Amino acid sequence: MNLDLAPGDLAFRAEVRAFLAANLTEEMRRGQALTPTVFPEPEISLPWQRALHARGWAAPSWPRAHGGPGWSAVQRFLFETECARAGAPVLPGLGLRMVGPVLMRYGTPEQQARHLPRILSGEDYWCQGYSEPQSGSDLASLRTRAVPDGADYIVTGTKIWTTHAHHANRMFALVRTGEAAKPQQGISFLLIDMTLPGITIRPIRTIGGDHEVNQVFLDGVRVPQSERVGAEGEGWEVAKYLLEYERGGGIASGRLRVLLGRLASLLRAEGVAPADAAAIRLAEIASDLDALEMIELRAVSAQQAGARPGPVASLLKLRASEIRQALHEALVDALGPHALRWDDRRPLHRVPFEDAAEEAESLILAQHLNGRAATIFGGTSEIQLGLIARQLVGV
Amino acid sequence: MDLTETPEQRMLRESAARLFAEPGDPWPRMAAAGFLGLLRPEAEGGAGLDLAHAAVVLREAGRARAATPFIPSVVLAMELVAAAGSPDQRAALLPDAAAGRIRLAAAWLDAPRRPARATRHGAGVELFGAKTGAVGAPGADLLIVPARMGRETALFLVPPGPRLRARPSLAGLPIGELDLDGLALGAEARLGGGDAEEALAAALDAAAAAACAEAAGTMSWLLETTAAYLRTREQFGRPLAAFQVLQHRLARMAVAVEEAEAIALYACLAPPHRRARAAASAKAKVGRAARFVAQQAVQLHGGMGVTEELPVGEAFRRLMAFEMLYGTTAEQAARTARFALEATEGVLG
Repeated sequence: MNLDLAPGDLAFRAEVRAFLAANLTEEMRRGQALTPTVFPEPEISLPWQRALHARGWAAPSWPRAHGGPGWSAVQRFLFETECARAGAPVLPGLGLRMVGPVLMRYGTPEQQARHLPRILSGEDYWCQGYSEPQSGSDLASLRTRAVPDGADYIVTGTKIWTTHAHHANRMFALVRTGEAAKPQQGISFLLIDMTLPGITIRPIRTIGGDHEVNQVFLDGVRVPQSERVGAEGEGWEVAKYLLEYERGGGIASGRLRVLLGRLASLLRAEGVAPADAAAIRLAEIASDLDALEMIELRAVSAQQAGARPGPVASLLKLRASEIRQALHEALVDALGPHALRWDDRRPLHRVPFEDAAEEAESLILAQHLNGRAATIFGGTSEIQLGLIARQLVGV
Repeated sequence: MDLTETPEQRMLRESAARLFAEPGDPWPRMAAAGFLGLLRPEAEGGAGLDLAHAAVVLREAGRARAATPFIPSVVLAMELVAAAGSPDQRAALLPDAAAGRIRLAAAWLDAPRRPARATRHGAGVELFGAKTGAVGAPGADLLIVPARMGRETALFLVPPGPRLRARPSLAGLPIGELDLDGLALGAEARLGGGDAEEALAAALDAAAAAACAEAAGTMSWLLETTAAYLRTREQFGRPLAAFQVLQHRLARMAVAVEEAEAIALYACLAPPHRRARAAASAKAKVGRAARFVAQQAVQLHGGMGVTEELPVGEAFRRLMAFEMLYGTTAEQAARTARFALEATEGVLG
């Protein structure tokens, strides 16, 4: 075991740094820095995705055969960490990180040819139709129905918490295609063109003031059966595979470390002493993050040997979301009574702030409020704890 | 960067697990297995391995709850002699210590209001003050004792003798309390090689890192034994494991154990220029995690958890001792705060 980067990895890191220095614009950096939500607006992320795509780097985890760079797990870690450190926009993950890997694993060659290149280029922007108003943590109880009609399905129902549905032209959705003894059976995984007739979108404004998520209504939407991924009724297996990527496939420590750096410099600027409660809290979070990064690196080492994200995905999702919230909270605490001012103009990167302090305050508040969702989406913390416990006591 | 176990580490882990599973004092077996020279180069009768290999052995010791003076003797005392001793002192002590023919220990912690200091006394020195909490000092052949001498720190070789009082401790091993007042030593008793202050700081960080690995081992055992208890113990006609409130508690323990093992590894693998911040971060984090895991293990065992009839309570006391040694949890958190206010770099630098 060792933490030393091999000469080839050091050279790779230098190459990534050089690319970032040459291609990451101030506008992109500012746009990401002022993004309180999980994903930045497409006007921020897509120019960066195009720059990466031109270099063949838009999908670090994809194999060469599908247009990825074919990087090792260590290289992917370094890439993510360097992008985070430089403040590069977070790429739209629903296509690149979620439905992309699913199509590679379960999609037909036709589906792969139809969708993967457009995910890579950013021509298609994806959203996820999983949760429903009556199906949150109990996702398998979902009721959106897909009834066969000739070569199509007629899809009727509603999806909620749909991130960037208002920007997306594609949705991957879980739909019910049959009734069975177990609710997990009878679910299918369907790709839906968001421009089809019968789809309406209701924006949902969250407590951070942002329009990030939506409710999507599907009213008799005619979707070709050729857009079903996997066999009919076997969507749950596909969904579980995807959730593993949603929870544990990414690298969170780089972005969290940027937040930790912001907290440290804010406390430094306020003249906080090492023995002060705020500094001790900083230290606790710093240690938590060191542990998280080591767990990520252990998963990276395991993946280097060809393993899937696997059971550690729950732990990584749980802790990354908790550390994120702890950082947001500590930043709000550091503002003290200055945090009282509430400005709900959005998106933040287009707001003409009076000065840097006002801008920083608005961001800290928005990300704290928005970030409360981190322990809820992608399987709540309680769901993750249940999954971790199941591995231990098999209940 | 590779955090998978090497074949050598796997063999070491398996032989350590077997060794600590046998009854009786493991120390002579550890000597025979070559564990005591693990960190010393082959020229000094050792294996020339790094702290991560010592951590492999210590994790198994922790899992078996074997109380050994490995850290005060091998990680602290031997490394102090190696870093601060003269070539003659190294040659006189290290091969014998690596082979288990003699045992070194350290008495590094000053007694309250009696800081150790040394003054010139003829050709040699005279020591004053007292040491406390010296785990593994009772039974050792020679103690390494730091003391202030003028403006610097000096390290002395002190034969234990009647000045050392052995007291039972939470660590599962007796601790030594050493009265230094008026102790006259010859000039040859001072470690005369490298910078003593630097050597002491580095050795204490290595000891803290190693202790984290041992504690993580004990914590992983507590998790397993608690999970087994929840599966078998029934109340209200169901195994305790069927209750969600207990499942989540157990899952939190598992998270704490995973974090402890990961950050202990960081402290053991960190390069010299990052060892201090890694060790401080790990000791603070594993300290918090150990407290949580130990308390939950006792709680989840119910009334039996607070008895001496189960080994859970013994593990609880060991983890209390872990928190106090090589920089308390609170001290290391404050140290981590100083580091974090300066810079927040990642584990790969």
